[in-house]
Amino acid sequence: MKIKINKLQFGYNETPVIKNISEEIDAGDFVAVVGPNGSGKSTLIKCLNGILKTKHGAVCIDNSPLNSYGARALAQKIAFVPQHEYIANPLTVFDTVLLGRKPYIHFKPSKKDLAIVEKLLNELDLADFALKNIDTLSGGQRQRVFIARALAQDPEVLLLDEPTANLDLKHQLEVLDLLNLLAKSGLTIVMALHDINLAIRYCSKTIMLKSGQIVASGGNEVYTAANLEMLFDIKVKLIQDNEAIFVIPTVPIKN
Amino acid sequence: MSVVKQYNTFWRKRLWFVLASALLLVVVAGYAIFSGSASINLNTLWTLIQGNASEFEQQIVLYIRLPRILAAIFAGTALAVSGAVMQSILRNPLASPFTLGISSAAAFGAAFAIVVISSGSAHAINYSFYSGSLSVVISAFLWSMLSLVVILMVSKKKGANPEIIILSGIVVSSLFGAGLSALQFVATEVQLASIIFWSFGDLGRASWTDVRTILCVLVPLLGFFFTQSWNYKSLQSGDEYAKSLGINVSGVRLAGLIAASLCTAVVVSFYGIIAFVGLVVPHIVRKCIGSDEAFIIPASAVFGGVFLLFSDTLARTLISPVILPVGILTSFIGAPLFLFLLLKGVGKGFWN
Repeated sequence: MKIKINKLQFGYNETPVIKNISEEIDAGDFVAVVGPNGSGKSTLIKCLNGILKTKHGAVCIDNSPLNSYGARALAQKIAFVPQHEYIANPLTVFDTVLLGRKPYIHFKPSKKDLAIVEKLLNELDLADFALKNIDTLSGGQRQRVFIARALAQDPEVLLLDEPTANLDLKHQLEVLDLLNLLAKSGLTIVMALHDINLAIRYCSKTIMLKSGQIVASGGNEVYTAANLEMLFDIKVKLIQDNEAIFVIPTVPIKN
Repeated sequence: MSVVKQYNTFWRKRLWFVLASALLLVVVAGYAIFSGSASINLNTLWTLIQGNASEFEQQIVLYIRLPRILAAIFAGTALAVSGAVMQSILRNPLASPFTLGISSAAAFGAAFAIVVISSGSAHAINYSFYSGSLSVVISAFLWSMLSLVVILMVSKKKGANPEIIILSGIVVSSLFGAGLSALQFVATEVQLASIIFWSFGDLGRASWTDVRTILCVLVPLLGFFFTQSWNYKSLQSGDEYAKSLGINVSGVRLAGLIAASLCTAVVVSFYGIIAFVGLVVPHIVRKCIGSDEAFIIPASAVFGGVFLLFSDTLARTLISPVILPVGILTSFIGAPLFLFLLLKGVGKGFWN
């Protein structure tokens, strides 16, 4: 599914956080939104499925603006994995993933809904914990549950806010491998990400965001020393290893 | 065993809990109708059904015990369900039907009626005189609705987030608390005793009129809560996630607040402040069957009824013929029960 952002502007109060952004994301793109804290990464992600309502500009999916879709219809197309998950009253893993079927369920889940959840739990290696409460799982397993819950919506676009935050190295790779696989199968993925080396390694496209504006966007060619220094206010060293580039931050630039 | 099969078994277990609670309700109700100062047994009940019972027995069963039992069941149900809904929509385990200041506002309203409206009444010879009187009930209800309106206005303006709703509830609560103190300061001794007696929470005031009124409010609201269970479940994962599922978060939350407050206000206006049921019954239920709102709501409804009926029956019979206000007993029974569940971890051990 194609996403078109047209002159998007958004602010929580009078000051805009997203300033006049225009960008296109093609179906099947695996996009990382990178940038310093407070640059508007999460805000941009949340504008893409209407969690945050924009006053100026528009987000179009498949050439129709977001507000032309009903809430339920939109939830059947775009799924969201939040960064901070409340688990005040923990559900079981099965019930959590079943929650993702909400846009399809009117009152009681159908046999099909249950079958979809079962399939996802098996695919994401979660079947063993199906009836465990979600708060008893480790961070990595929990993140897989939340991705499974998003996939239960049978979406065409998956939005994630810092999916690797608080995960150890192995689990970071596992989550991104999983997302990579999903992107290869045709799902459009847009995520906010802090780790630029992971973004370089996995993503087909990067959007660099600073102070609510796009600094650069495109494939891995955007990872130049000049761009990164401007984006993060740091000196960097780029290391070329075969095809891959690695970014090593060295010292912060004092203003 | 396939995952779906396991889940279905789990689903049925939770359903059994609801059904078992319903059975328990019938048993406790049966016990309640036979216990009390006047002796009523199966035989008397049978002659009553045939229409041959004495006037005295008819009075006891039809006008004293039966309305009181039904009042206990309905009030328990209303308070426990409101509590469960409040805890869900505010995502806060400390939320209860009284979080929005309903109880303080109702207490103020009752005191207002006792001190201001009926101050000239010559009949005020006894402290329990006012408890069931219409002006007190109506005043308690109207003032609690006023507190709800204030909170709705604030949260509408501020985006209906749980923290703001809870904080404004606390503020409104303390405002009415101060108002109540002021009224108590100017009240006569009989009025003061009436105010305190009102606030105990007593089902002795139950009559068919108020049982019918509560039922009329409760039934549609229970239906409403039940249809909302998926929405409440989605709210547990945060407002942003719920929005991404296509849910109108502030609409769902405000509608839930209004419905739960209405439920509570009706009960409190008639019977005074019955603490603890709304806060702890949902937790007891959660401990037993986990946190799925689709089960928490019906299970709290039934278990709330059982709990308040049991407490009230004990209140009637414990030091018979003296009848204690049930509001005193609920905490005495509920606190140890909840602590026991908390320490034993019955929920986890039993279901997993």
